[in-house]
Amino acid sequence: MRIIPFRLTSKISEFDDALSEDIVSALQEQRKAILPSENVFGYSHGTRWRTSTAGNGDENEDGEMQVHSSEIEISFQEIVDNDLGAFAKYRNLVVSRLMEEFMRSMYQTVSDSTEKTGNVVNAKGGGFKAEQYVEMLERIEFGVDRNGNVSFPEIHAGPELVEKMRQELSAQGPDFEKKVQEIIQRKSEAALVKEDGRKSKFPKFGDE
Amino acid sequence: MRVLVAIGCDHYSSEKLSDLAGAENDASAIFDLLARNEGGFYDKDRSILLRSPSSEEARAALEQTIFDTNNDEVDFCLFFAGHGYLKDGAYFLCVKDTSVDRLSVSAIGITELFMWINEANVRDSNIVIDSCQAGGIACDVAAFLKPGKIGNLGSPSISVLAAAAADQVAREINGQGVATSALLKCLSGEVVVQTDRPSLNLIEVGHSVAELMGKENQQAPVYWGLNLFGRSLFASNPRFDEPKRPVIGLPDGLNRSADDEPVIREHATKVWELYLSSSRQFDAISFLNLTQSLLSDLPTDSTAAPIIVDALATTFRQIVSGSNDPFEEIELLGACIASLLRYSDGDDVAASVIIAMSNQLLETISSGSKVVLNAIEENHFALLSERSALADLYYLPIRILKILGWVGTGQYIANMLNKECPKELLVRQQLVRAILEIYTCSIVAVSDEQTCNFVIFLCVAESMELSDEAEQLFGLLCHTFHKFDGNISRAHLSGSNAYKFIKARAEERNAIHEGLISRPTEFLSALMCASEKLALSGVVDSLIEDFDHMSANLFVPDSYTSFAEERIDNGLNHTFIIGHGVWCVKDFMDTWRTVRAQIDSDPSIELPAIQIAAICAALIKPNRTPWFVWD
Repeated sequence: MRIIPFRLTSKISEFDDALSEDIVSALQEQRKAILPSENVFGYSHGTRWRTSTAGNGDENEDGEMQVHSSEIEISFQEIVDNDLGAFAKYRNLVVSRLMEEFMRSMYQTVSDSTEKTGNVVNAKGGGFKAEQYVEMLERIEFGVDRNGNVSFPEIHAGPELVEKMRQELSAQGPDFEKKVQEIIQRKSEAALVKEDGRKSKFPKFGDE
Repeated sequence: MRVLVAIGCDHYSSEKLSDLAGAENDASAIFDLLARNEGGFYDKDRSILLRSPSSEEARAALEQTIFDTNNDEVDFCLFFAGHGYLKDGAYFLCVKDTSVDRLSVSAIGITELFMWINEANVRDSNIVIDSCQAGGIACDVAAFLKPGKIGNLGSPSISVLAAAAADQVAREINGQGVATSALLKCLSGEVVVQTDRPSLNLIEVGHSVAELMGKENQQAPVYWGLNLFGRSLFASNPRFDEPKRPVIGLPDGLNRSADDEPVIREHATKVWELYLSSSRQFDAISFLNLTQSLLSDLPTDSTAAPIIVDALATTFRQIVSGSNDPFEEIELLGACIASLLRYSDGDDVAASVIIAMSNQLLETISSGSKVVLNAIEENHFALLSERSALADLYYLPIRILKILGWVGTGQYIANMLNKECPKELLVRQQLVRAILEIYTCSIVAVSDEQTCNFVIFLCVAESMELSDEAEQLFGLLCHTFHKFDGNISRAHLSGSNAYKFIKARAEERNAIHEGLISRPTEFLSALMCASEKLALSGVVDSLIEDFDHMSANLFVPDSYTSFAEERIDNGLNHTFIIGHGVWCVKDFMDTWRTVRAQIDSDPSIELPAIQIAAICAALIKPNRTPWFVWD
């Protein structure tokens, strides 16, 4: 039996709960930068879900929850040394590792989905070309947010690739810019038309 | 009326229960000793000895002794030697015609026995069982000890001694059960249980029996008692040292004052709730608050307070003494002592009980210090929490100061009662040195609740021959207090607020939420007092400008008899602000002299019982500092 003077069990348990809540809250903050809150669901039961999208003819696959975990080691000596750096190290590392796992899982889901639908633009030999950007835009369907504004696609890439993209796109001439704007205009109009169609399905006041 | 039913069962009709050789001898020996004609503790005419009875005979005997009493209150004792059987969480005493396939109808169920005791007019109940798996009686106890049930308990006192733990076999040697043999040694006086009182209770006897059996590496008995009404009686004490009387002044036996009893019963449910939760972890503050609440409700002319506190100490000690935290027992005794503080000036019995408990506290601090010292020597990380790491950034510095505070209290009591023992002093010294060596970096100013521990330790450091260590402690606390800009937390932060505090400290945020910070702080006052005492005021003076505008405080009650109250209404906060009247330690000493004058105007503080109880109150409720310990 290990001797532990002044166990303070309930207070230490409250402390640990506060730590967990703080980590969850930090994760939520970081997640908000990637996913809008309205696209985040919380379930009380089950580990799978199926989103019903009646009418569009698509067959959605069941989604399945994934467990994200992270193990950080703190030495006893750090605690005995009252090393407050251990606190920040632990908390920040847990948050960043969990976030990393979450991002990896999110990109994998996007990748699986695009592979399946063939909605993939092949870089053909690496690098980034302006025509691939146009091809990407052509393949993507724009959405409309809850306020009726067109939501444009986002590009997620590493800092180096983003810089290359920026250079490649700015090196193109006005024709390219015009072409891009035309696509965006067309896709935006298509998105708004589709949104109108969706909204028109609601019963209107005074309808029979 | 005191009645004993002694049952010994050697012979069994069931093939599944083997015959025994010593059970009848055991019952006879106990009966002969406790219900003898002259000087017997139990009334021989009313008591019954049964040798290998049938279940019908056993039930009839129990019914007769418990119920046929002509409305007289009964002090009842059952001794049973024979086979015991634990089945589906219920414990049964097996008699001659018991069938293990139908125990509930052919054996004596402990739950059933408790129900009879509860229904009858039984005052004091003692149950001794020398059987296999007798510790299994705890299963019945768990079911029986529902706070609501005990709250309405007919019998105000139940004590049990079970010879073997739930998974153990009770052994016989030379025609006698080993537990009964040990019990007879205690009851006959061959082994001294205690010499202070004319009677023995079953708990103290159980403790001695356990020690005897433990020495001989035999089975481990289980013993416990539930009692709020005073001292339970089990047998006369052959080793009572008459000339020493009166020692404390508590009456032997149960207190059944018609005025006190309803108050005790009204609080009983809460007491038993705390009792049950104490098997997981003892909460000294809850215990002290509950005890004070109970005592406050007693009639003003009641003399029951020390009796009740003594009974609570006896009842709860069995639970906390088995804990892996040796300081639970220390805090229990400290809380009991503190609860009597308000009675200690004028009630001689209360003062005597405080002193008697202080002696026990001193022993417990010594043994607890030894245990902790061994644990640290075996594992340098022994003071860390079991399940959490980061929480110890806050709680380990508090835990360390708590240990030092109680070690200092041990020395304070030893000085006050002239009880110094070189061996115990050596343990204290070794423990303090080990802590300062291994946990140097955890001697950190974190919370105002460290103040009382720091003050108590420092005031006795010299008499512990630990002046160098006191300087080291002062230096570390002073350094860290300065390092964190004097921002230490308030006493009694919740765990979640402790987290916020440590997070802000780790992020080096200057603005820690003001609700978490102790302002004014007593810690700075302690540092200033300590610097003067240690002739190190230059250290504080070299840093003091960095504390410009910081407020500090010393609270002194009008009377230290109120020092254990949750909120002490009558008293004065001596507040001072650095840079506004106080620019150095010398300036602070003017404030200190005013404080000391107020302390000296309370004559009660001269009494040793009040000093010890006030220190205990501060250690249990560390949002107060016993400044009187410093001259």
